[in-house]
Amino acid sequence: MSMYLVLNRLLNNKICHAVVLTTIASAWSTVSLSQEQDNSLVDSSIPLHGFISQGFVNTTDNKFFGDSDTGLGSFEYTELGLNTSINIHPLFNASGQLLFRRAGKMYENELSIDYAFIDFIPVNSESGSFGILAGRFKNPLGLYNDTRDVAFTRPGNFLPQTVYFDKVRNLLLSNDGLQIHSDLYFGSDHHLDLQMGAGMLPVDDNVKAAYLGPGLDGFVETNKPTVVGRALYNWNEGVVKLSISGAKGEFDFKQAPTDHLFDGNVEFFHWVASAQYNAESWSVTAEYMEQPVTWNGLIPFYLDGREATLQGYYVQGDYRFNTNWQTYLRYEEGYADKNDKNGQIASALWGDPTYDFYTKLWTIGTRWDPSVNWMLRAEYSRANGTFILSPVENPDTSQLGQYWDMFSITASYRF
Amino acid sequence: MRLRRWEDGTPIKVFVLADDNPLHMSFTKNVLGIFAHQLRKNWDRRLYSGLGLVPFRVDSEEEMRRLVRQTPGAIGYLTNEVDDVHVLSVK
Repeated sequence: MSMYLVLNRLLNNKICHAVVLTTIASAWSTVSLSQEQDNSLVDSSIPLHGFISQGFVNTTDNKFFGDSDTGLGSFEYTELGLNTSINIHPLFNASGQLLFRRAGKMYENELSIDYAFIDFIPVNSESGSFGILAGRFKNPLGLYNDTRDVAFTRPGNFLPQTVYFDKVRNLLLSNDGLQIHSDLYFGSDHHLDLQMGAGMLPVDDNVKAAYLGPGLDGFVETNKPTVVGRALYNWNEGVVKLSISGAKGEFDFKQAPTDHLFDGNVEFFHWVASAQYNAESWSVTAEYMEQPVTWNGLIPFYLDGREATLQGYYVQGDYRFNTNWQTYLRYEEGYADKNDKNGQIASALWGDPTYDFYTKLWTIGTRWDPSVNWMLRAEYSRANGTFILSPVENPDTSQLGQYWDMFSITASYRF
Repeated sequence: MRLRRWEDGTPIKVFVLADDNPLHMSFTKNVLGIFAHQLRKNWDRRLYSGLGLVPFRVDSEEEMRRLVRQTPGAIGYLTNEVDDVHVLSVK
């Protein structure tokens, strides 16, 4: 077909053909928030976008996102989001997203402010941009954490659990503080996206149970800022993506009188290395995560200064048959401690089965997009090990089964 | 060099058709050299983390033509030459 680039007539005399062709790729791929108000029809309304997603989960054993193992399965996997981004001043934008989420016993009907911040962008030029935002922002970790609750942006019905644990989603989800962000363009195809921020993590009971075990009435809290950052390199608008990202922080535990642990704190440094290649019909993605953890105090069950390094990695291949159908295959492994891969040391210490300290998982799935606004996805997994499961949903480890399968379907709509 | 604004400072306002529209797919692949699914991934990451907007999606070439005509700084694509917007042939 013949194609014509079209431009508003006011630009007619101000630009030349060559300039347009060199800028259009940038204009389409890196649309940024406009920095001036104008009277056009497009800018006079507040842009509202959002999504609705509902999932069904069935497991042959163990509970994941609700009572998934009862035969009837679980429907406790629901996400609703509503967001907006408003240009409040030539150099300032205000953005926010409300999120309602249901995820089994991990998150029961939670309505939260997913992000809400003011973004000051003083530099927006030919070679890049620079901005500082203040408020609640999503932590840029790996390729997927900052949009993890949006079904359309996930590589499957669930994020790869060995890197993006839903059982401790809140530990690294978002941050209340400040973030610097910058885009740098160099050469004709190179783009570096840099983000760095610091803020207070909103930790919760899921974090307490995952790091300190179930059965504690005390609480966890953050008293020091967590620093988080990501450097994401794109070649040719994302044909190749390479990224290194990390979050370093700590949280404190304050015991209740009946607790079996004394006060203490947990330090962690979660980092992820990511790589992705996107061809026209297929993609390959690999991510590798380590999280060294140190437990301080928390006697008598934790030796003061006990350390472990969580480790997780996956490789996923995606094949797109056409714009509406795609399929994917993923293999992943996750360990509570990379120096105790078969879980024997931890099992001797805690009494839980060895397979509670690792998970190895194969996943195959198909995604159908009947239109640009709708998505249906069906996925099947075979697992060995229960490390990715939440102790909040599975408090009695003697009930856990080592080998378990999972089938899930999600239906999602966006606007 | 890359620009987000035209030389006079007017912001570039981008209009697109749906991801599965044949003109959109052909334009992105053959003119921009970027696959539509790559653009979608890049846009979504910014949209759902609050750090950017997606281009304004129109449902037809008629709507595209009307909005490009009305909006200062606008840029889009069509299959036909028309005379109320500035046209550059690219294919």
